[in-house]
Amino acid sequence: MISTKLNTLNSLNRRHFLLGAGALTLGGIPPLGAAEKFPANPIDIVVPFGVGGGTDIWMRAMGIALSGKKSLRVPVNVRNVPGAGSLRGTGEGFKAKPDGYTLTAFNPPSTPWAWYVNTPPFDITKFQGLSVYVREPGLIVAHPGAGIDSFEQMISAYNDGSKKIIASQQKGTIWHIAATLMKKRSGINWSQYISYKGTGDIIAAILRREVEIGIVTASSAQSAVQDGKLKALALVGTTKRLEAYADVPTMNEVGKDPLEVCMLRRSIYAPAGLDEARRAVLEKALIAAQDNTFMQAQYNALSLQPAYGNGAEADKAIADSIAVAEEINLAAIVGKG
Amino acid sequence: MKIAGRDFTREELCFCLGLAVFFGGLLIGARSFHADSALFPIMLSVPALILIALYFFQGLLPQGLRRAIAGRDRFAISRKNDAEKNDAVIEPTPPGVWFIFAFTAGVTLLAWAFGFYVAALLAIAVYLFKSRAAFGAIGLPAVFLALIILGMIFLFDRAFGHYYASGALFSTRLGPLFDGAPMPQALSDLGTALVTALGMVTTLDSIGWIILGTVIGIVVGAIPGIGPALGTALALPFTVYMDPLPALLLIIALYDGAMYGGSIPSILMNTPGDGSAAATTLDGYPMAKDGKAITALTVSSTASALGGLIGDMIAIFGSIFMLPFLLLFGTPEYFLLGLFGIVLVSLVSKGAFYKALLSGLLGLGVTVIGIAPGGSADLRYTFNSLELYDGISFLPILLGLFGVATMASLHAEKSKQISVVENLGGSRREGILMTLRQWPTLIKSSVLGFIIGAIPGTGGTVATFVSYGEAVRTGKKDKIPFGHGNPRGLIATESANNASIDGALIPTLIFGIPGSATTAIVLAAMLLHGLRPGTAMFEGEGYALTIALFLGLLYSEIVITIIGLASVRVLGSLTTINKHMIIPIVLLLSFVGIFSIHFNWFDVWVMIGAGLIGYLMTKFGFPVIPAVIGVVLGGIIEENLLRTLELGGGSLGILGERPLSIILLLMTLAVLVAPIMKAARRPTK
Repeated sequence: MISTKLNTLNSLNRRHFLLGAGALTLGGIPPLGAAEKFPANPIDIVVPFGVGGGTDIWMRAMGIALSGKKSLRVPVNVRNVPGAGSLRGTGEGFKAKPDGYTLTAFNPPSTPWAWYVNTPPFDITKFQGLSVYVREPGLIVAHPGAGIDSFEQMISAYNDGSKKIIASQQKGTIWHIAATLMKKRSGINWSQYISYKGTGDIIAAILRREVEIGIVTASSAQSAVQDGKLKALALVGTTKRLEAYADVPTMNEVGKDPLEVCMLRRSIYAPAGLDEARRAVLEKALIAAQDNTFMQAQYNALSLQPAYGNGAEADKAIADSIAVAEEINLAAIVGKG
Repeated sequence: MKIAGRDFTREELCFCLGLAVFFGGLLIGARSFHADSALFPIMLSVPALILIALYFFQGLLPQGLRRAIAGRDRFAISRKNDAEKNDAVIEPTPPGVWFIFAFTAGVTLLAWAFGFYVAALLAIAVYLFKSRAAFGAIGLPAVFLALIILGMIFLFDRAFGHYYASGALFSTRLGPLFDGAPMPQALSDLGTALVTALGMVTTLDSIGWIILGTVIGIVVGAIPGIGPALGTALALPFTVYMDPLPALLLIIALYDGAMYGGSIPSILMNTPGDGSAAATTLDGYPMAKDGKAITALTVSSTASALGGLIGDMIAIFGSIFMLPFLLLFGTPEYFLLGLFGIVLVSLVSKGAFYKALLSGLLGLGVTVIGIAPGGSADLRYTFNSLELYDGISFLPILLGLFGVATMASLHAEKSKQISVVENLGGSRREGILMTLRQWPTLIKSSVLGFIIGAIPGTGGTVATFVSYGEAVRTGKKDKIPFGHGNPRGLIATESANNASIDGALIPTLIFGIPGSATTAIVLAAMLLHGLRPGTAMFEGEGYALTIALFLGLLYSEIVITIIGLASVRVLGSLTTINKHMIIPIVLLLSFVGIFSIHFNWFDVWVMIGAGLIGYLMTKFGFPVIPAVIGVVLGGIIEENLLRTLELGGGSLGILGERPLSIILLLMTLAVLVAPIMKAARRPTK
């Protein structure tokens, strides 16, 4: 038993060696009969974020799932192209050949909003959606000593001026837009917005009571909420309660707009022009891969559920983001109007 | 030519003009930003322009004043450069230096066009041709060189996907050839193989994992550009099938090993693999140059291990008591801590304080490029380029200032090897005794490293520099001056480095707030295995696990000591082999490593540019260390300054209301004023 496994290892090394040797020779000979079978070549997933970031960790698990015997059976590599608020990688993925061998992982509404504001030279709405694999809502949290026990109390505290500050990430990011929409659509009148770099920084700032109320990604605040160090007031972006926060209401339960656009929909896309047969193969594989052990480990780690979202949902996520950006005049909000 | 009362070479004139254009550009550009985005660039450029004027017009100053502002540069990279150079005639740059910069630039263009394999082969050929006299017959060494470099590129290629074989004009990629018989299912096979291998090793228990993690860590840490963060990130997916404890032990041991591994190229080649290894170069490289590489490496591994040990002890017995202390650090304190760091480092660099300050401002100035941290989030100085959107990253600058600049000077030097003496002196015994004799420095630096490491967002780089500053402050009477191979400096940085790991884990475990990129991966690993940070990690079973992690670090330190001590002779001998074997390897590895961080050609150009600027800075007596620290701290200082203003309703009054702020403010003032007071007390000397 052990020796067979050792043999596998050996042959693996040998194959890697051959691969290296091959890489040194010149070439580019087209594969025989590649047209009949899809996929026949390795697939690249462009991750527009750095190694070790959230999307990167998801895609490395997804890569292992997709390359498995029950899935696409070809190597699936993660290619990190970080920078420019995910626009650099997204742009590179957009310009790839639409043959199904280069996919791009990005996360509406964040990436479409960054695109809308910075107007890089590609049309994000032309991406073809393949699957949504995670839906991550936001969470409004408060310091337990702030004297605010519920979402309603928070609204009246902002409206009567006894609380002024709301904290979250930089302007133009998902939770900043959520705060802006809360004010615009539901009349929740916070008066000062203080921004921090990441969700961890916001939680830290609330824990030390530098600010008292903030919006964070729901999955990142779980430990602090369970330990009673943060009070969860309401979920943002969803109309369904979460298992991990069974007693935390959604905003529509309190009669406010649930801000459905403000849910991070982690998705995978192909460049425009991919033929329908290949698109269907990839969509099916991506949805099925969400049941793979590696992916399940990820979902469990963050107390999230697989989204099993299809390509149409991924497309809609981009369209919705752009519609909201126009509604609120996003460019003006971030000072680019 | 004679301008403003003194002689300028064309180079110095260009350098001076370049600085003026940079800061002048910052000032002019700032006019188009919102107030919050413009504040920091203006704060930097105005004093910088005054200092540049001082530098340019120093010839017009009275002799006494000139002497007073000039000083000895304690951070000179090469021994030749640290003569009192302000009045000395500056030698013209030897052609060897320009060759190295042209060489790196050429390799970059070649790799962009034809891929890394072709570029590396051509580069080696050119380098060998140029240095053929030094090699004698080009035979075996050339094959060695080619094999090492191509092997490393191949490893990068495997780890990060195919970026390396294809260029814009030509591709060596052969992927499809293997498709008749489908490509090996690399990832899933590797996954299966690893799981099998893992299943076999687990019977050897956690120690096996720790040894594995530490060894991988040391190797990964020693390659420029791949630091602990990238190393742990790449290992993460392979831990999915493992049990929580072995998985975390592997990741943490890798982290520990990489932190130590970074010191090896720092000492031997003045090329830090990572920010936290930068301070190690200050006294480590001069020791290697003096032929004491074996002692230096021994000191480094002993101090790393002992520093880590002290950190483990503090973590195991004291972490619970640290909670309230950590919560004292808010936005105003981060701002002041950053300020303190810059001032302390400028002070430590002694001598020409104004040059150190200008160097620090240059580092800070680089960080204002890209999206502004304030509420307005203006895009600053990006010239509409997406490449500059996130600003200029730290590692290319670090590797340029150290690695490339050092290789350029080394290439131009007359010696045949890194070490200036033919035969290696020093011994393990000497190194160990040296470290133990400096126990007060060791303990103090470890405690400092632990505490600074525990403050989220600061991490190992700041911890090592602050400990180094403290060592310089207390070790003024040492026989060997700092920056010339004083082992006390090496002990301070290395012990702080490894102790900072324990510190950094504390906020990660308690709040789930990772203080650095690497602890963010540790956090991801914890979550992946169903462990939630929080008070649960400090109660009952969770607490046992937390302690087990710190014990794991402790074992890993033992492994570091054993491997470190066993390898010093082999590694040390690198300083006595033909330098023409070392130079292309270090240059090409830095180049591949830097490219691999963001897969961005721009970063490579930044590295080459930083190398050129670093070389000129050293030549004209500007210490480069304040610039490095400036690049690390710029973002932290600006972000927290702006937020302090927001929180205080537009005033900085809040700084005087918080006890910890007041302490930090007083410390900064003390550091600034103390040398002036001292000078005033002893006016003649």
